[in-house]
Amino acid sequence: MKHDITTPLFHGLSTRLLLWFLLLSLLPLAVLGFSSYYNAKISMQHEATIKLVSIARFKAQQLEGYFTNISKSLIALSRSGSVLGALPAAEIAFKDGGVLSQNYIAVERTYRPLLSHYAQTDENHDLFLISTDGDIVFTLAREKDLGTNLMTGPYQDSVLAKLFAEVMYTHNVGVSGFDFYKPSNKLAGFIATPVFKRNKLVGVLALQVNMNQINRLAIDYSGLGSTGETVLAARDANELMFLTQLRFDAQAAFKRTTEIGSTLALPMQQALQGSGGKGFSTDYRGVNVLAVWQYLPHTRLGMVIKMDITEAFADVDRLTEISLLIALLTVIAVIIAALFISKSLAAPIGRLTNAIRDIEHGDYSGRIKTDSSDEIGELATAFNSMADSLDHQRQQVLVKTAQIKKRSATLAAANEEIKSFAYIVSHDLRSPLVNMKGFSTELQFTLTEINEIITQCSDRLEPDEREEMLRLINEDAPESMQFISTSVDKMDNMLTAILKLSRFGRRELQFEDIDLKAVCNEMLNSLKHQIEAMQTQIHMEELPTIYNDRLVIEQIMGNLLGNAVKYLSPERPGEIHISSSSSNAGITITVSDNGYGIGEDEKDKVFQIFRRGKHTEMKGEGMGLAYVQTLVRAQDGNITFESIENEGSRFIVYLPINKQGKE
Amino acid sequence: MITDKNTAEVTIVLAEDDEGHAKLTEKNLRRAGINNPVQWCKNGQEAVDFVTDVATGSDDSHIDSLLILLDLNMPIMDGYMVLEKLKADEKTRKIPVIVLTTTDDKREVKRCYELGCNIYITKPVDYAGFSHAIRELGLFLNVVKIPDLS
Repeated sequence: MKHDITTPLFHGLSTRLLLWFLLLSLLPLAVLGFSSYYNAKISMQHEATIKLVSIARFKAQQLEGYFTNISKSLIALSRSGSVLGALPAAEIAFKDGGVLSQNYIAVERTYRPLLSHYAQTDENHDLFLISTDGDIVFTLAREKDLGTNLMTGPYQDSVLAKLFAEVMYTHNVGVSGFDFYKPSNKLAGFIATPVFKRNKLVGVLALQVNMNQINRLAIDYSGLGSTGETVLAARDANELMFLTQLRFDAQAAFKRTTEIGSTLALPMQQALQGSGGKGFSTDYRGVNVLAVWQYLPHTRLGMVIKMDITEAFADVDRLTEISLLIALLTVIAVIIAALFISKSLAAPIGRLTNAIRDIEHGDYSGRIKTDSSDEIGELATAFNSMADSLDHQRQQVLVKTAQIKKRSATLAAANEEIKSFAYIVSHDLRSPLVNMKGFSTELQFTLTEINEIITQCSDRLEPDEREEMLRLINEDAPESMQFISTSVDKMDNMLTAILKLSRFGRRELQFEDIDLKAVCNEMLNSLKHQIEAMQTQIHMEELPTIYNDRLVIEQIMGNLLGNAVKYLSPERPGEIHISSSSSNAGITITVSDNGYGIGEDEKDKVFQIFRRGKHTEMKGEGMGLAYVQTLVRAQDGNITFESIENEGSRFIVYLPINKQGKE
Repeated sequence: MITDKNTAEVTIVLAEDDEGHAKLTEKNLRRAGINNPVQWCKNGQEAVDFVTDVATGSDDSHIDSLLILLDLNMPIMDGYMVLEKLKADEKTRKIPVIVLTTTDDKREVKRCYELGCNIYITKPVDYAGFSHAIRELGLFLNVVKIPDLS
């Protein structure tokens, strides 16, 4: 018989091994991997943040430095003779005749070369001299704003006008926000400082700066990868205005706005509220970013340095991928190793299982080939020798079984032969007995006739001859015939007994409910005379009703009780105990007495036919226990006894419950 | 001695392998006053042959004048076979058969009656009993023949 070994193998040992291998290898890997991954992620975040922070610091310094330098040089310029001279002169000339007057042109011609040091450059667009009452009395660029009043003129709402008012109030240098400046038709911011002459405020010196410097700052992406950028924005009422082009919106400068309080550009909103910080947030596009933000007080700008999280943590993601790859490779390696090891472990076990199953199904030929000397090798060797031994024992059992079969057939035949032998013999032996008995009686009749004849002719004989003849006829011949007759009777009794035994053995049982107690009482009643004579005490326990053949039970109890009473010792009062115990299998009936008992030399003859105890003064044919044994055996029961001479005997009969059962 | 010319016509066929038994049976029948002719057959085959001869060689009245005393244990053909053969044949079916044997086994008695025997008599070893049984049989034979007279 062949068994598929791969299926149980795969579901059994190999699966368990695989799971354990995976557990043992992946658990530490997972712990280590996770902790190092976590640490790496933290440090990478930290590094990315630090980078952004330093960039922010650098850019803030750059911007602040730029404005500080301009402010310093502007303050220096405001104290120079050129400005101190030019401002009152230009103011007087302007107030006298406006910017087109001869007088003003003369003043301008005098001072322009001195102030043209601040000629239009990439950085600086224009230089203003403003009187204390707000008149722009001098500009280098001579744009439309020249000659207008910042408090009452057309540009009174410009950032320059606001800055002028601030400086006039604070008497200190100031920087404006950036905004579209109409006279220049471009974006511009302003720096202004008060001009004092002999400690008296005489006007304001202002410088218009371009966005160039700020734009350069904003579009300098060095150290910011492919998504990082510097964002500068100013607050405009309820909105924030982006001042420079954005990396993801080239047209953003002074066009793109975001409402304060919206969910976009959160770092910038915070920066413009005056707070600085760093962390994860959402930028103007709604993308998750790592950001550093701060407020730049000089310029009143908010600055955000930010980078998309995906890029900031690209290293982290790469680390994740590498970790997963390592884990995957480990799993594959573990699976291969587990399969290999479990196959090398389980394959011999599978072969062993098959061989054992073969033995279970009767094929003892299977042996396990093994070269290994490990435990599995030992197991295989042990199995092989066990199989050898089993096979050998099985062969022996087969031989013995065959012998037993043969013998039981012989025994059964012999048993049948004995039964029919007993039956036939007891019949056929009777036939000659009839003749012996018959003809000896006939002989008696003949002798009687002879006697009559002799009596009639007695006178013809000598007296002594006649005496002798009569003696022979009347004494010797009858005596011989008497012996013949007695022997024939004895033999007839014995044949009858054998016949009875044979019939008991072949009896067809008639099962019925029998009250065992009633049967015992009946038997004891018939023995009443002897029981009283021996002053016998009968102890009878509760006895059950049993389902059996009445004649059989009567024979058994009659013989056992009869023997118990018959062989009581006259030296002591008799005591007879009757008890029984039932089980699912059958009933055990015990009859014990305190009589003569059975001597050791007689014990093997107890159940033989025509054997009687030593005390032959007792009547009996010597068949009782032979009958009981035959009846009990016919029901597959048995009878045993225990006896001590001069103390008593105990006979134990076991009858199995009738197989047909009651129901 | 009781004699009757009608019963005298009846021939008693004694099928008995044991010569002693045959002689004792005949002696006792005579003592019981049965003087009919007795035909002794040593085995079942002889008894069947004799009965068949009578049956084929004569009319029904001859068959009517037969009575069989049959032992069971006999060589060649036993009593059961004889019974079977006689009861199977229409001509011999009505012949009275009295089984006379040493066996008193109930099953054998039952079997004989089933095969159609008329009376079953056990031969006891005790000779007084034996004589008594045969004498009873003799009386019986006298009685059963009375209806023939009428």
